[in-house]
Amino acid sequence: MAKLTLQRVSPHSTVQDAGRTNGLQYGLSASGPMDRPAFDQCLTLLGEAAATGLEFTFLGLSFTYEGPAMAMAGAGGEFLLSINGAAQNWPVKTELHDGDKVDIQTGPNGMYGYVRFAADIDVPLLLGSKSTNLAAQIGGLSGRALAIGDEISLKQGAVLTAAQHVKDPPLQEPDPVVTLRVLPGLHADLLGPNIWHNLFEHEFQISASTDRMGVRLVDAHDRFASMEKLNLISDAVVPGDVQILGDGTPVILMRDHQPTGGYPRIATLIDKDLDRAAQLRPNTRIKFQSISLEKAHYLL
Amino acid sequence: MPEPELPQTRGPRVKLQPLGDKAILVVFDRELNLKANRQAIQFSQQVQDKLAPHIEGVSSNLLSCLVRYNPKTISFTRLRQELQLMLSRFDLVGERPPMETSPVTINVHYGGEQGPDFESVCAQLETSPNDFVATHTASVLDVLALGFSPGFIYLGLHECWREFPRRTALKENIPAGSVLFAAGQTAITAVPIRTGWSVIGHCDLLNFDVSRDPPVKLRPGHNVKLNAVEVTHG
Repeated sequence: MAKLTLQRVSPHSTVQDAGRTNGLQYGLSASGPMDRPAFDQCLTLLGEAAATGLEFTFLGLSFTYEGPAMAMAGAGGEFLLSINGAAQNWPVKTELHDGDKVDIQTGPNGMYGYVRFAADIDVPLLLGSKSTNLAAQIGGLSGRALAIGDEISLKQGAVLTAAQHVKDPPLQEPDPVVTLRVLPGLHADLLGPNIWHNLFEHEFQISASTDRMGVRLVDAHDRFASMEKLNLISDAVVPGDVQILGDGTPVILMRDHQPTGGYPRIATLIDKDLDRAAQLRPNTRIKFQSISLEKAHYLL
Repeated sequence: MPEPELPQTRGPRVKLQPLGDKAILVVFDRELNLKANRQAIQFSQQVQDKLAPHIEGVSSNLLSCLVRYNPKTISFTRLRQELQLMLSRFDLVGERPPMETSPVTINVHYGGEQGPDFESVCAQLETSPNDFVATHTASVLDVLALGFSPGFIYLGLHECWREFPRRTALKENIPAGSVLFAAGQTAITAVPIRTGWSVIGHCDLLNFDVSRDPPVKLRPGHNVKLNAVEVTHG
């Protein structure tokens, strides 16, 4: 029997696997890791790993491990890791032993990090996935975030094998102003060319209000505040949609997004940039850039 | 602005719109009507039947069909062609009967503590509570869509009340089983939600249980008959 006992947990940390891709027809977004390449990197580091791991947010995570020798990998952002007080590299591949104390602290970059193990997180498989959807309160540990004192069992079972030639995600963004590439959103034509061009004129900032549902942006120019209120019919939402709230606040919708919504969506981030957006800390300056669908597919 | 995709199909114009780089939305109309809603639901079923092995998933919305795909499995161009071909064989002109289902009866308690907006809705519509309930329960309703939150269903249409507005303020923590009303539609919650719709009552339907497979009882294309078991007012 192997288990983790959580000593320190940052808010909105969760159990995640690749996601609940068949949930949408029942009103459930897929969830899954906010930074999929980092989650996958843990698997690459291990070669073989269980499908489910822990996602923690930028304050990190600490836990005690009890059980037989267990392979563990950690990746995502740039966190500071120590095991039994000794500093380790990040990302990391290591082996845990009975009684080891793992401590992951905020580092210079990133909002989301991951640990994965040779054995799987022992929680129920719901609609084909163990992912936590915090908005719907489903999956993982009874639909809730990780909490101090949680005892999480690891169970030997099926493992995934790493794909070949996976490119590791960068530890940090190269530019102080991060460029996120977008396609026109569901309502771009309805909102008109002026609103569309507005999106690219000035920078935005990542606000302090970011979670698995969405990343709110700060718009110093308040460019959408006076936008005409459209009476829209509720329609499909996809991850990466840039939604404009009633007061003009833009929000990038993330993994635990509502399945449908009635706010206008001006743009949609390309899939490739959604994980990068998730890792941006509050106050990061961003700008949007228009890209063709063909180019977006080429980048995948 | 990129050019929107406008396939030339017979009859009304259906729009195929990329949503991000991993989904195509097939939009049947902009204004809510039963015919376009049934088209969206029935077309989604056809996509499921014909393209399931090639796509990530399909789901219907009030007036549209969302087709999710992996560009590494099927290219955008190929998927768009497949959808256009299916649309060219899909009757967009004729009336569409509901899909064959016998209506499921939902027992509703109108008003009272669990329907706090019931009386103000009646007052706004200048109708008596009993007349409202009589009209509200008169017809068999379509399950128009499932969305917004797990198991949340939209029922309709109540043609005579299409203009009825949403509330300006949102209400927090509306419990599962609440009966909501706005814009010619009735909605039923399956998990606690925040809403701007009027809360007119409560019912015994619990349309989401993650331990069941499938987790929902009612889904788009099903029919519903509302039955008033209690009307509390005054």
